[in-house]
Amino acid sequence: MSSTDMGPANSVEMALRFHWDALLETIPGPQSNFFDDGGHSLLAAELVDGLEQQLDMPIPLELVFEHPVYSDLVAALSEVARQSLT
Amino acid sequence: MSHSARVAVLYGPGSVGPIDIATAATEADIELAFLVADERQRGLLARFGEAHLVGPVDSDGVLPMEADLAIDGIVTFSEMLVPAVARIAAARGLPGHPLASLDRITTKRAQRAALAMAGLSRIAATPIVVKPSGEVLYDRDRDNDLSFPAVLKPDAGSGSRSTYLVRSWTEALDLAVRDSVSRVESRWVLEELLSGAPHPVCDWLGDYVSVESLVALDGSVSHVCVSDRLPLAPPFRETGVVIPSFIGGAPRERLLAATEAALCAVGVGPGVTHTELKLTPGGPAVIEVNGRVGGSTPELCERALGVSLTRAALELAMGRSVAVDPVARGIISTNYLVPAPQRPVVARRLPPPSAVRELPGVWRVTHRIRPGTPIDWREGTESYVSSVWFDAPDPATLAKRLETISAAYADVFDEVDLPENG
Repeated sequence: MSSTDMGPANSVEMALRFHWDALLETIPGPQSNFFDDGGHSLLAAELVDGLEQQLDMPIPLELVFEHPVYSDLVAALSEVARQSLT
Repeated sequence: MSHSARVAVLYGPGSVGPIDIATAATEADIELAFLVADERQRGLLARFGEAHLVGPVDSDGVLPMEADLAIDGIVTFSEMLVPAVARIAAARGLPGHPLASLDRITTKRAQRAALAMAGLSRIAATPIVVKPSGEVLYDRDRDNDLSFPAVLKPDAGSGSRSTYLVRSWTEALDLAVRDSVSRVESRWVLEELLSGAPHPVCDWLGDYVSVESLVALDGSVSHVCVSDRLPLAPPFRETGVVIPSFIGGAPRERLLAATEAALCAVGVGPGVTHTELKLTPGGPAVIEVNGRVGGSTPELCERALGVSLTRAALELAMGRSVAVDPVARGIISTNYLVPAPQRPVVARRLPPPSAVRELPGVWRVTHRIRPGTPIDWREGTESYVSSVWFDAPDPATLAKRLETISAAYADVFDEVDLPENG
């Protein structure tokens, strides 16, 4: 079972879940797609903006476009967070 | 020193998304400069390209911006910013709507007069002005062809906001005064209610259409497509666009000819236009000309016909000639705006977007509101609860899918008590 099946497992996922819910007004599931659920490019920028401030690390905007599915985005963000620590 | 072509986009409410604008600019080999009046939005737009803080628009309608910002064109995808863009374009000698036409492009009163003078659509209408003191200026005898029921609407604006069906002068004046106090309108138009004719191909569709057109620097007009419309929700709220239209042959040609004549009468400058026409027993009657890209049409046009209106708008803004070749891809694309009832309600039980997305043909679902939010139908088209984008291969399937989607929202609303003047 993945972390997204069990609910927020770490700060990255908690932050993503919070901002996703706030922007799209829907609680994401593992297979939720940011753009299919009403996200658009300006909201993607807002999502990244919010995540950067909360997680205190730079996040490329492209990440949301390349990984629009929630569980994929959690994994991609976690990788960015891991790299920012090294 | 020369620079490559750069087009400024004055960004505002209702605009095409920045990634779509940035993509279109890249495809057209255009440098992009977003202009926006809000620092936070400037920061967000800077993620997509160069972004500058401007304005806000001053009392003379002038938008303060960096004088040394070198641009070859300027455009907006936001109705409320059309005048500011026209003024900047005129001041800098760039392509744009002529200032002499601006009133006709942005106010219903002047546009109606221009269309009537050109012998296009004579819609009986008269202005009502509510002054800050509460005094109401109107003339019952100004247009003797005006009869009731009639339509009361703001002189400037879009999306059928604060638009009412009224049955008497008393009702019209009461509503105008009430909304001038509680809302933002002060200049109104009271106009004839046009009788529509059934859509010639699908009688369940709305009795009006729109035409997306390109106006070149030399004034020549080419049309991209005719769009059908889903039926209005009462009183006049739009519920969606269907691209391409099912109307073909001679009726389509009549729509295009009426559109071209209207664009000429209003005097639009180079750019993309969105013209709405009512289907009437006497032929098409122009409802309104918009000097900008229509809402939701860029994505539908691209999906169904392979044409980027966004790219065309950028290129036309800098005076390039644009030739498009719409090719039907065998799908009909629709953006259905799920309307709320015409009474005070709260949307309690919105279906999860993932559940709606599972329905046949659906490819995007956006809830505009959270469950529990009160909805004011007087906001017009913008009072919709959900935007559902879907495709269908033919009219019968489109109707069936629309019915299925509507059924998913059948048990959403609870009635509530909301102040009428709220």
